[in-house]
Amino acid sequence: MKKKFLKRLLAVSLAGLMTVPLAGCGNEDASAIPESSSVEQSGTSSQVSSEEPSEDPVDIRIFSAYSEADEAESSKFLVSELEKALNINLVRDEVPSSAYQEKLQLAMSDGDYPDVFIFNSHEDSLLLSAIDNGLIISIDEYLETGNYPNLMKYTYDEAWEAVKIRNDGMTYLVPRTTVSRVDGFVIREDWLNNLGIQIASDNTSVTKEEFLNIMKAFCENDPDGDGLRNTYGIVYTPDSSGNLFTICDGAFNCLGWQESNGDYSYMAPQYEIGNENYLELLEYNQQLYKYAHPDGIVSSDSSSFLTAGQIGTAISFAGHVSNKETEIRNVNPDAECTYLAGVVNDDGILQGMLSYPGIWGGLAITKNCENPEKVLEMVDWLLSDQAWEYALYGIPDVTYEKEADGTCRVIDADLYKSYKVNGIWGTIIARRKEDANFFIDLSLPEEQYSTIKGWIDIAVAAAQFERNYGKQPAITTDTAFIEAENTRKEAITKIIMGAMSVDEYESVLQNWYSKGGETYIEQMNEIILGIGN
Amino acid sequence: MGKENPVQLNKSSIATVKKRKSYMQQNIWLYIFLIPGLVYFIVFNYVPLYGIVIAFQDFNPIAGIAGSKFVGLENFRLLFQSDNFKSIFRNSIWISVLRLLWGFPIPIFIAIILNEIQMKKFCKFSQTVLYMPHFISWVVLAGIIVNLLSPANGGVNKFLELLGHEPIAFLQSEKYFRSVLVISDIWKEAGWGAIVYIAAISGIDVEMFEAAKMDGATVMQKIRYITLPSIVPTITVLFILRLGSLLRNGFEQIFMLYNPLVFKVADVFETYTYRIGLKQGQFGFATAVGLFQSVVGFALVITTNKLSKKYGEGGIW
Amino acid sequence: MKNKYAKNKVKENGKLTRFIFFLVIVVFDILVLFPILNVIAVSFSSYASYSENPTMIFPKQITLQTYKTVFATAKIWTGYQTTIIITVAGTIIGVVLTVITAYSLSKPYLKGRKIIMPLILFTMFFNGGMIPNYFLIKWLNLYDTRTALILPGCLTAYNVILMKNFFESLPQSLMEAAKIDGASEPKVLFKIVIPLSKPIVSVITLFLAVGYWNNYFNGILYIKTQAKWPLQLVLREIITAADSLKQSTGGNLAEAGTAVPAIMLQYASIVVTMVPILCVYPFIQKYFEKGIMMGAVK
Repeated sequence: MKKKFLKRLLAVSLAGLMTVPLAGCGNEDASAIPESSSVEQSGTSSQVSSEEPSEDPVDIRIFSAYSEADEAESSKFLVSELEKALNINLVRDEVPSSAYQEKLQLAMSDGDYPDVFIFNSHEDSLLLSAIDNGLIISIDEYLETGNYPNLMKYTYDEAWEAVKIRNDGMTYLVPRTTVSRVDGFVIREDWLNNLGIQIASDNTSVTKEEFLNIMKAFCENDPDGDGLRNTYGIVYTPDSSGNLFTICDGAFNCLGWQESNGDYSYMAPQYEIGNENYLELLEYNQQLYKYAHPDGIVSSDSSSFLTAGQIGTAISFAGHVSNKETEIRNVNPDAECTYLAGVVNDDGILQGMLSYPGIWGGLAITKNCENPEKVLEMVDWLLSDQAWEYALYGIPDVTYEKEADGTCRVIDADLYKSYKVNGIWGTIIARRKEDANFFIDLSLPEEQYSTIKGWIDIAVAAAQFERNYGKQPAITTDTAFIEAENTRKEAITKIIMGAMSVDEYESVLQNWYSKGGETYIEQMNEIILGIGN
Repeated sequence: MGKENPVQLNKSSIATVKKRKSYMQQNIWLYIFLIPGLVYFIVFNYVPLYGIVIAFQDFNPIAGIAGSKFVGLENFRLLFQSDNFKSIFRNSIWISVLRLLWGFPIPIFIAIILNEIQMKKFCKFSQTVLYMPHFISWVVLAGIIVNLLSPANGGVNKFLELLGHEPIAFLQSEKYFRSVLVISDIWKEAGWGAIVYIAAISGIDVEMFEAAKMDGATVMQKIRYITLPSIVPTITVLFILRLGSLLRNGFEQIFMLYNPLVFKVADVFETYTYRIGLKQGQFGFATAVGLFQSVVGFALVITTNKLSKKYGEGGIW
Repeated sequence: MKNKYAKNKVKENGKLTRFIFFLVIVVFDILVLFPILNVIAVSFSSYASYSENPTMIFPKQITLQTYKTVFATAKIWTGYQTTIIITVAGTIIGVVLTVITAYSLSKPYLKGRKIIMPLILFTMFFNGGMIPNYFLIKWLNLYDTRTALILPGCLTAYNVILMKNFFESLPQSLMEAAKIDGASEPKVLFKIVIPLSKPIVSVITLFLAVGYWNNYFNGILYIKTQAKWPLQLVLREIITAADSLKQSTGGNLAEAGTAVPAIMLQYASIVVTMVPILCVYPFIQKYFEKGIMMGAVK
């Protein structure tokens, strides 16, 4: 059966044909003010309106990736507690996550709007259209008149700026907080030992030269001792546009949109002609690529390189290091992994750029919603101590126990892990900005836990927000500009891979300027200058 | 249906009326048979056709077709004036032509050969095996290809090294990439494509083969004078239809295998539109590109069909 | 015909040529077997052995883990159920529609043919796209029904053209003779044409059936309840879920207990999809065996 045209057109007009996870936990971040594993007892209870049990529960209909059959017990428990506490009846549309964007488009075109849409990115063009067409309401009045202590406490200030999507001062999205951090690397400790390489013992950062040398050694000095030239330092895999991107940006002081002393008030190094730092960054990545696995650019399964022992380093969240070690041990039982926080700049500072100020999309309330305050209450409640405890630990007296002093302890590690793995629905809606615990296996012994926590703290401290808070100017929807931007990114890919020289970047950038880049920079400056006003 | 004509009393018109009545009466069933199909096409194909107007709009799904701004040929202008249009157009055609040149004959070839081999079980087995790759998704097949062609430790390069050659990064080379596309496409689809021809060949009256055999025909002669001519109508139709897809290429295959180093030779309409259109929700643009491909394809089919009929090779209708 | 073959002085029995053909097919078979065996092998192997050697032909560290994961979710069974229903229904309806439409159009004396054919061909190239189709189904009150998965696509221009083409190659004399004997058109179609058309009918059946079996997109567009998701959509969902899972656990299988990486599930999906087709195919295949038309015209 050859519905060729339909198939092609649909393939062309829709994202997500591949099983590329949408955002997913792509911005899994964990920031931590060093905390013990107990939940705060400062008594910020959330607003609860269950004073009149005789009142009918309010229906709240939410559009999010959800499958009833796959929901874990702990998630169901949390949701039922939520419904009780707020006297609401949660109606969740069952949307396949493999077709989320398509379903979102259809729902938007259909007119059958739920109360809340969950967007995975605050830059989603659908979201912008929805706002422009009056489908999404602004929530400022509710924020002002209502009392949402947890929501305020556990959301980044900068996030509130980012959700003023239309740059008109109005807030259109309830931010979905995630923890801001800059991920470092998981590195094969056994390889380092075999080669006699020492990383500074006090912590886990290296200089640029050291890193490059490690990569070289991994590639050339046979770190796995099998006599074959089959190892590489790292692998470069493409982003969703198919392009490679630079790593170790922070080591060259490339932190995206920041204040500038040049012609514009704000500038990002990758867009500034002749920016020395950026050119050095490109050069560095070019050198690194020589020690990178050549298949990265076309690979669809990037983690298998590390698992198979073909590379010695990969970008990784600190909390996943022990997981990866276990995985590699399935292939090579002698493997040992540790965490390398990153590459420091010339001043010895570890830093990295964050484009999104601690948010991962958010909740958009539609005009159909009769009780926007309830939605905000819901988010607020999910961030309350009680709810957060459930989110972290599961079901009381089943997966965990609460001691007299308030600390929580996992009692059924296997059950806990199986629940944790399936995810708790509530955390799809809301997470606390400072809580790395969300990502850590809380059933781990104390020593392991502190090590990981320590790593995460470093990653959090290194995070530097870009000054535009993820906002993008209007010209980014212009086709000619999109093309120019794609060309620029392709050039970077070719430079990294050594197919183009670093010197050629300048002419690429000039072409970019002429095709709308200049307008982009001007518009961006306007946006940044307008923030906070 | 023409029965309203007043009967005029002269011989020819009586004959005409009789004939008309006769035609309808004779063939009423044919039209009855056509009704469900036509209704189907109207409902499921023609009614939704209004969506084509999206190609001429600055479309957003919330305002819908009714509410989106009409921009005329703007989307097409953007397409044609893009810096990359020439190379995308060229790639789309060239890759399609390569696949046609190499990929079109092979299924025919397979069907003919299979017909000649006399081991029934082997033929059945081969036929099944040959079409199985059709069901392997490109996600997986691309992974296999990447591994095979890997300059790090892929089978093909290991073989080359044995011959004393340096490893080649096939998927990153402008020289080899298209060949990889074409060869892998044939690998995947040739067996499936052969099925139609196998069916067509099986429809040939076996007695013709018997007669030829008795006359002492060789295998090749049999093929040349019986098998091939019998399936030429099928080949013609399929070829013409195939031309209708001249500007089209499989998105998944190219998307899974390509990378910026080979965009110049591999970027086609589908992949280009993906990179431009989707993330920014450029529905109008994407629809315009599809419409362009369809118009060209349709025109090609109509033209080739006319030519084919003119030269006596038969056609689609 | 006698002239052409008269050139043969020696009576050749074609053994050599046939043997060469045989070798060629054997080579093709081997080339093609490689990815097939690889897919099967990987689906029965552990992720660790896949990482070590992705192009394996024999399974290593044999495990049923991947398949267990696929079949663990309840929706795989409803997926099979839905897909079987729509495949059977859709194929039957589609074949019937295609046959009668193609039959009529195969008569060169049919008035209106010159207009109808291009109109049908047109549908092969032009389509309104996702959103109008979605609305159409809603207007027809077919949203979230299995019928919405059956009707769209049961009749395609391509199939009609193929079948019509085949009908045209049948000897017209046969049909005329039957008509003179007083047979009605339907009788001609069912008693004469169809028995002679087994090959093409089975091919179209195959195309339709496979089309339905593989389709997931209509499931996305037209179905809301999970219990009615077609098999392919269920499989995709399982794979995507595994991918998200990997992101949240850092790809560790141990912590996730029995979870399996998405890439392995891709392989298993292929096998899960293909096995039923392989089972059904031989029944269709026998209709285009050599010699099926032996003496049929008589």
